Amino acid sequence: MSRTTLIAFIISLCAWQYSHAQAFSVHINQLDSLMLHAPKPVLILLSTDWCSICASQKDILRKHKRFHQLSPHFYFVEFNGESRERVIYQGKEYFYRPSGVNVGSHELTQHLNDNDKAAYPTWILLSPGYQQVFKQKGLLNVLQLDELLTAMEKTFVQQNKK
Amino acid sequence: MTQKTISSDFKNEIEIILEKDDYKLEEVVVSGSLKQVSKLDSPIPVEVFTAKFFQTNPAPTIFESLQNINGIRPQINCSICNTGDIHINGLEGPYTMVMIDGMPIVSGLSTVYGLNGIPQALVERVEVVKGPASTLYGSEAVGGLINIITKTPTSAPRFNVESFGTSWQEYNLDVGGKFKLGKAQSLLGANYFKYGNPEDKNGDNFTDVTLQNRISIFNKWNIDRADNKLFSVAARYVYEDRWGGEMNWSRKFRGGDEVYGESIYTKRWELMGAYDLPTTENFTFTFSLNGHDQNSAYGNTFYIANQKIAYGQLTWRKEFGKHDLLMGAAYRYTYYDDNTVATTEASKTHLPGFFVQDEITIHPQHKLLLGARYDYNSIHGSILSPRINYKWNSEDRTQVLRIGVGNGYRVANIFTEDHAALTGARQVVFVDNLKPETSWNGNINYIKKFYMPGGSVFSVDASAFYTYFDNKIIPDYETNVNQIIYGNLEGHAVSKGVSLNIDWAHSSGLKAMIGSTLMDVYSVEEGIRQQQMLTEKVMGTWTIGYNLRRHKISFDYTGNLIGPMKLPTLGENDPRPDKSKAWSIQNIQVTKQFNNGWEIFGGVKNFLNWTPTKGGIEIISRSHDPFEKIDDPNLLPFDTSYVYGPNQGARGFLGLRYNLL
Repeated sequence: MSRTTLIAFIISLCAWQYSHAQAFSVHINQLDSLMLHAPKPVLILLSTDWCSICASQKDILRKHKRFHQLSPHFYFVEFNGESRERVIYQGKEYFYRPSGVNVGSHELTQHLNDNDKAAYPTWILLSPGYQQVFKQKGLLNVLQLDELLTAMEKTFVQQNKK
Repeated sequence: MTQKTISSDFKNEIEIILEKDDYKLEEVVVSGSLKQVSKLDSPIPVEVFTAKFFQTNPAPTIFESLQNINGIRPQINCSICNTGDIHINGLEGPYTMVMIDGMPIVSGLSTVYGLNGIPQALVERVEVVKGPASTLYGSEAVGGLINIITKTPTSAPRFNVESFGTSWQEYNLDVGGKFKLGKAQSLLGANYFKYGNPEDKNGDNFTDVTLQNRISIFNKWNIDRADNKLFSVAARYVYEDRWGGEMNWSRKFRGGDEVYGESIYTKRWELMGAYDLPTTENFTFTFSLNGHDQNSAYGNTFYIANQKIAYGQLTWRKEFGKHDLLMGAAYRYTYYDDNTVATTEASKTHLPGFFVQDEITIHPQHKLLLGARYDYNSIHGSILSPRINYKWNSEDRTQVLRIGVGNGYRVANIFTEDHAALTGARQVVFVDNLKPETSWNGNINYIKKFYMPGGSVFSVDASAFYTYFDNKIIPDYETNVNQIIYGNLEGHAVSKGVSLNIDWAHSSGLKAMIGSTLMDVYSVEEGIRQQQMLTEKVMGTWTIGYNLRRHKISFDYTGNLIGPMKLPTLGENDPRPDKSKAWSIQNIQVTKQFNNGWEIFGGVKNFLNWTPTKGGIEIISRSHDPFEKIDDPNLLPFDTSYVYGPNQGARGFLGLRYNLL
């Protein structure tokens, strides 16, 4: 390949981008006040910036229409398990705990995992009363996500209507 | 998935549980790929390898495991004592910096020891930067950087043990665990490796593989502070006793001229840490202290060396607007002494340095990193090394492009780095005063990821690199077969190439990582172009795994393929070929996981039974007369530097692993 065709190839690859879906997740620090005013189920996705399966999971979410359609019925929180932020969750403070230079994990990750070994990605579903009802270590594909949404719809949305 | 509503009396809560037919769900769970995404936000390309990757071909040290990473080749430099170094894109070991959790092990005498002794179970991932890493570590990181990230107190097992043995009677034992003491959390690990069964399969009366006894202990502390700042200290101790030589060698012949043997006793300790100052500003102090004590006898030549390094670095990080500024000052002190004639008195070098770098987020998709470093070396004087990196990512983050250009330098110390200087009967000769090597490097890296709706990930990672060296220090084996002449290269050297990695994590449980690097490493002196010795032009690596989730059985097939290399022969009369043939080392493994934390694994390493002696090549010249007692000018000198791959044939292995979470 000549140099010019190589450059042209790189440029065309760069230009090839997907359309971008709207932001739909709620920041973890907003959760407390949101839940106070309008309790809803909470779906948390724990990930890190170096985990490729997490990136794949986020890509599936971006393209999942039903997920976006149903999102008004729950709060979706994306949380980086190695985030440096101070977090207030259920009125309690959680911090980043460094374990080396540019390495560490967040206390909230530990808490959400019930002190179990952390894995990425991890899905956690909480009821409007902050009770953990579902936990999944690993990726949920399009169909599984559908199944989870159906289950959520049946249990929470329909229950609300009663 | 089915869902159940449990109306419990007290809270009327709902629980979504998984029932029997949920195996479908289990099947598609991809718990982690072998190679993780390179850190997306970093303008410098970082490749991340998980602990799972290293388990696909279990090895007693991370050094050996690196053979399955594209662009990296652990190189054995001595056919008798089997000491080695790490080649990254054709650049030799001393160019590589090793760190533990970002705390540097400033190593000098041997980078390889930095990769020993951390039990695999305590390793969370290994981050690799190929090419000049950053302005942060100066001369240490010209070739690349290997950062071993240990598990956090959350993810580490409470206790773990892993043990395996091979049909060559090699035994490896890893023990690790964590505990808490007041406000401190600690990781503790130990490794013991023994190979005590001399083998001579090629019949040259020399041991094929060096006998080894090695113990290493690693301990890391994280101290919880009220302000949640970092305070981390780690220590490691390695003791190793290794020997190789004529089959009838025993310790009583050490240093004598009756029976040839190379025996090395190594004691090495390291202490390193990182501490955030309790100020509102972000100041971090990292330090590293180490001592390396080597007592070796190569035949009747003793090499007894002692090196101590103290290193400290204070950095200040400040974020304002689009800028993430990092400034720092570093100081390195090296004490070195040995018993050779070249070192009449201990050398003490001081290397203070300053650096500044600014990571500018021009736009969420564009990042620019500007850096410069100034060092003052007590021997070489002032050295300035600037660099610039740029990163672009697509809006959906499936594409990343990185471009970097920079300058690096290296202060060389022949005795601590080039083992060839010490073995054999060759005389070491220096030309003039050696100047520090300087290099200019450029690299381009492009990553594209494809996500499938089923959860599979396919990614392509392509890079091109170019490094231009000035004053390169090159050992000359050819001008005089009885000498190794070291000098600054008059002219220049170039290392350039392209590499491609393909990564595939399929939701069925199939994972594949295939990579290849094409490179050209050569020097030009007085218009004459020469290929670098012991450097291949093409290499490939692969790791292919399949996981039968339902039965908790996984299969791993790993291997590498190394193209022909130019080899150091002793002139026209040397019967050994001056070029190697392409060679490949391939391994298979089966692992069965049990629910109670136990795992059993076994397989065959190097099942093609490749060794450099294949085809009847005698890799050691004059092996029948290592002390050169026969007075015949037609005989070639005794030479052990002709080696380019591990001289160990096929072997089966079987091991057990236990994790208490």
